Amino acid sequence: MSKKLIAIASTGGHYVQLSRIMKQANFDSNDILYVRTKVNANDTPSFENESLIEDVSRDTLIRSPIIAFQMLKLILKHKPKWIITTGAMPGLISIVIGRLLLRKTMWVDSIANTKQLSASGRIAKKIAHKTLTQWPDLVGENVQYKGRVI
Amino acid sequence: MKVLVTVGAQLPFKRLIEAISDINKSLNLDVFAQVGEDSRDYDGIQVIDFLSSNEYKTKLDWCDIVIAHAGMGTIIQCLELNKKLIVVPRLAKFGEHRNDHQLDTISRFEPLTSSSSLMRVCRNIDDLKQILEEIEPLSETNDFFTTAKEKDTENLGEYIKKMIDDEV
Repeated sequence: MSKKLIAIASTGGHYVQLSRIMKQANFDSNDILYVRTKVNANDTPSFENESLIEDVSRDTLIRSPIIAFQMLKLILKHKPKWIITTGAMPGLISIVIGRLLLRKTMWVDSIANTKQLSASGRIAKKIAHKTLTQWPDLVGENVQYKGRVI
Repeated sequence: MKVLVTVGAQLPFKRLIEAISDINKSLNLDVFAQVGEDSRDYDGIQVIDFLSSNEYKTKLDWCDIVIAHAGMGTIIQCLELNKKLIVVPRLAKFGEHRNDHQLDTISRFEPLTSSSSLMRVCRNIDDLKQILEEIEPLSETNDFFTTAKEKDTENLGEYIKKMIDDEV
């Protein structure tokens, strides 16, 4: 069955925020496919609508194609209208793949970035359909404030 | 007193684990620490590199106090559980993170804390023992933040729901 959206983030703070925002949004749980990065080789999904992908950071950019391919497969399989992410690098890659596959894309910058958008967010705002910050004073070109996770 | 230490899913934070191991020589607390890729041996505390999300939830329920890096994930989870939390920011000058955004994070949250709030900020690792001793006797029904955050009329979740539903 196709999903309304894929919500993807790196495991840890990014994913905690994304999960909380999605809970507040109150979608039907079957509308969302959650995707997070593997913490280690033994990591497995913790619930039904969750998929895992490999991890990548700025230090391991060489692994980007693996994630790009994994996201490509997930998007083709679940046909979401929207891709939404709180970061970090795997989220940025997902935005790029999402755009290539003509999906709507949204970047919600982490609440931890209080002084400027994250490095990935500064790239994402040029690519994503919608870029949100969680701090009103960081609003700028293509970047809006629509509330925060806490 | 049961203490969960967590440094998050990415980088180790040896300065914090070392300090806790030191403090515990005199306090003798039941400490379980998630330390990341850190092969050092620490005395008197139990360590693991990573926890699965289910194991992590179990440990969060088990503990009385969380001591953590200043990561938003930990702050949000402790807020949701109204759990005592001490955050210690990672510092770029010690190679603990790429930049000092954890200092920026705590600058935003520190004004919401006080000696009676369940969340405390520890800027100087030498103060950790004292903060631990201050937070320990607090009632678990105290407020996580003592000062309410400024009124915010925007609701991020509602906004996203509306936008996505309208466009589907």
